[in-house]
Amino acid sequence: MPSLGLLLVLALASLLPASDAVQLANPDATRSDELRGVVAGLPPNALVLVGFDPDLGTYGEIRATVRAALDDLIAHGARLAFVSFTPEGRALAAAELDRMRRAGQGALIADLGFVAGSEAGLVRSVADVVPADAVGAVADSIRARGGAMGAFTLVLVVSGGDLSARSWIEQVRPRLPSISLVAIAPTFLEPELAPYLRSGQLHALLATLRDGVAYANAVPVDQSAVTRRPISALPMLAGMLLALTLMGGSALRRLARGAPRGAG
Amino acid sequence: MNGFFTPDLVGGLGTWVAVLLTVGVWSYAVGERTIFRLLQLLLAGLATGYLALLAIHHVLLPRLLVPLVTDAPNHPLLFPAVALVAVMAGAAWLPRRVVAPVAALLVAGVAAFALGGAIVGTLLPQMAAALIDPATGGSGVIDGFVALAITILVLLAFLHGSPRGRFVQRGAGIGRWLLIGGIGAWFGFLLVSRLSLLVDRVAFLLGDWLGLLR
Amino acid sequence: MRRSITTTVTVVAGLVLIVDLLVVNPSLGAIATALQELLVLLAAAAAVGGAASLAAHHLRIVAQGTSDRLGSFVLLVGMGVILVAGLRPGSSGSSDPIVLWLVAAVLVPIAASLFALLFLFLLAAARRGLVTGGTEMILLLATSGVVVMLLLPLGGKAGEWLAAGAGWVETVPLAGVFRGLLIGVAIIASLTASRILLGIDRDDE
Repeated sequence: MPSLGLLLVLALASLLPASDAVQLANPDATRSDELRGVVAGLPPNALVLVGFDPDLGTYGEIRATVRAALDDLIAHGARLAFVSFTPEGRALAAAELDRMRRAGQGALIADLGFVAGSEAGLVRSVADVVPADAVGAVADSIRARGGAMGAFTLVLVVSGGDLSARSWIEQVRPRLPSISLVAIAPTFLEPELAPYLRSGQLHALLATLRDGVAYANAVPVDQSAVTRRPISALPMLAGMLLALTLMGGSALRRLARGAPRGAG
Repeated sequence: MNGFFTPDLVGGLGTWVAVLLTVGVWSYAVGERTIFRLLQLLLAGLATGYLALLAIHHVLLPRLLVPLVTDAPNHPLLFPAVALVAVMAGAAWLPRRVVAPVAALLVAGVAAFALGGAIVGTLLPQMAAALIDPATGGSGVIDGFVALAITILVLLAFLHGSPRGRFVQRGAGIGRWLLIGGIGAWFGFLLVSRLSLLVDRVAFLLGDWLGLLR
Repeated sequence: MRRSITTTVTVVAGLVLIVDLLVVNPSLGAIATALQELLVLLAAAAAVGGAASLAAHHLRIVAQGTSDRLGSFVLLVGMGVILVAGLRPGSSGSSDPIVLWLVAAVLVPIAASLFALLFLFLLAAARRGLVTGGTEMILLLATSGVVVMLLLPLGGKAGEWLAAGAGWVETVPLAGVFRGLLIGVAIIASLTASRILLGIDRDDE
C-alpha cells in the first residue's frame, strides 16, 4: 500500500494554487440555500439551540461549515446556546465556545453543558435544558421563556455518529412538533439523514463536503475567516483520482485472473 | 487553522504536541506498531477520564449531590436516587441480584425511547414520505415512483431467507442486490469523507505547524 | 422472584415512558420526568463505574508487572491527568483551560489522525475486496467507485454534470434504499424493544 506516496501527493496538491477547473463547492446550491433561507428567516434576537455532538475523529470534515453556520446565525442577530449529549460533542463544544469567546462573541452565547444518558438526556432536556449553574444574558433569556426547548426558535444539530440528528428527530420532534430542526453532519451520515429532509422532519441538511463548502463560501467572512479554512479542492481531487486508479487497477487484476465467483 | 489554540506559547506548545501525536499515529502506515498502540491506549485513557469528569462535574454534582447537601428537604426523591446511583457506580463489584433491577431501569429507558422514536419519529413519517407526490409533476413523479419501488424491494429484502411465495422471494432477491448497491454507494461517501479528514490533517501539518498555507 | 422484580421494573418504567409520549397528563408527565432524571443520573453513574472498573483492571496489570504494563500505565496516566485537571479545587471542569488544552492538543489530534488513517485502510480493503471478493463485493465496490467518480470536485460543465448525477443518485435510488432500510430497521427496533418491555425472552437469570 503506497501510503507514504499518497500522503506526499496530498501534501504537494495542498501547496499548489487553487484553480477554477477544480471546485469543491457543489454547483447545485439547493441544500446551501435551504439553510441560508432558514437562518435569514429568523426573527431578531432569536434564540437558537445548538445541539453539539460531532465526533472527535470526523469533526475536521465539517468544522469550516459549522463555523460558517455559527457566523451566519450571529450575523443574523441570533443568540446561541450550546448543549451536548455525548462526551466527544462536549469536548468539541467547550473548545468552540472558548474560541468564540476569544473572538469576542461571548455575550451572544450560552453554555448549557453536558447531559448524560443519550436519548434519556435528550428527552429530559425537552422540558428543562438550562442547568442551574448556567450564567449570562442568553441563559437568562432562555429561563425567561420557560427554560425548556420550546424557548428556542431553531435547533441546529451538529451531528456525529454516536448521537445523530436522527435521535433529535425521533425523540424531540414528536414532543415538540413545532420546533424547526436543521443539521450539519459528516458525509457518512448523508444517506441516513437525507430521507428525513425529504419527509420535512429536517428543514435543512448539510451532510456532504461539497454542500458544506458551498454553504461556507456563501456566508460572508469576517476577521475570523482564517479559522474557517475549508478543505482544499485540489488534494481532494488528487486523492479521489488516486483511489479510483488504485481500485481500477485491482479490478483489472481481477479481470485478468478470470470472472468473479457467484453470489454468496 | 483549527482555531483551538491561542496565539501564545501555550498554543504553540499545543500545536507541537498535536503534530507529534499525528505523526505518531501515522507511523502505523509505515509499520510502526508500538507507538500506535500506546497512543490508542492514551486516547482510551483520556476519553474514559473525560467521560467520568463530565459525569461527575456536569451531572452527579449539580443534579444530585449539591441539591442534597444544600436543599435536601425540597428534594426527597434524591435520597433513593443516591442509593440507585451508588449501586450503578459499583455495579462491577456488587452481586448481580442487587444490580439487575437497577440496570433494568436503564434497559427499560433505552427500549422505551427506541420504541417510541422508531414508530413516531421514523416509521410513520417515512412511510408517509415514501408516497408519490403528484404535485412534483413529470420527472418528479417518475423519480418518486422509482424511489418507492426501490423502497418496497429493499423492505422485501428483510424477508430474505424466510419461506414466502415465489413473487415475494424474487422481489426480496432484487431488494437484497439493491441493498448491497446502496451500501456500496454509502461506502463511496465514506471513502470521500475519510479522505477529507486526511486532507484536513495534512493541511494542519502544512498550515498550522509549518505555516505554508494561507 | 429476582426475574419477576427485574421484569416488573422494566415493564412499569417502559410503560410510563411510552404512555407519556402518547398522552398528555400532568401527573404522568411528572412521574416520567422524574424517571428521565433518574435515567440521566444512572447513566452518569454507569460512566463513573465503568471508568473505575477500567482503572482497577489496569492498576492490577501495572501491579502484577506483566508485559502489558507500559500500555496500562499510559492509559492510567491519560485518565488521571484529565481527571485531576478537571476535578482539582478551583477547576471549571470541561471548560477549564488545562482540560481544553488537553482536548485540543492530545485528544483531538489522536482521534482525527486515527480517522484520517482509515482512508488508507478502507482503500486497502476495497482493493483486496476487488481482487478476492465475490459478486456481491464487486457490486458494492463498483457502486462506491461510481459515487466517488460523481463526487469528483471538478469545475465547469463537467462538474455540473457530475453534480447533477450525484444529486439524482442521492435523491432517487439512494434515498429509496435508505428509506427502505430506515423503515425496516425501525420495524425490527420496535419489535425488539417491545419484546424487552414485555419481558419476553429475558436473559437475566
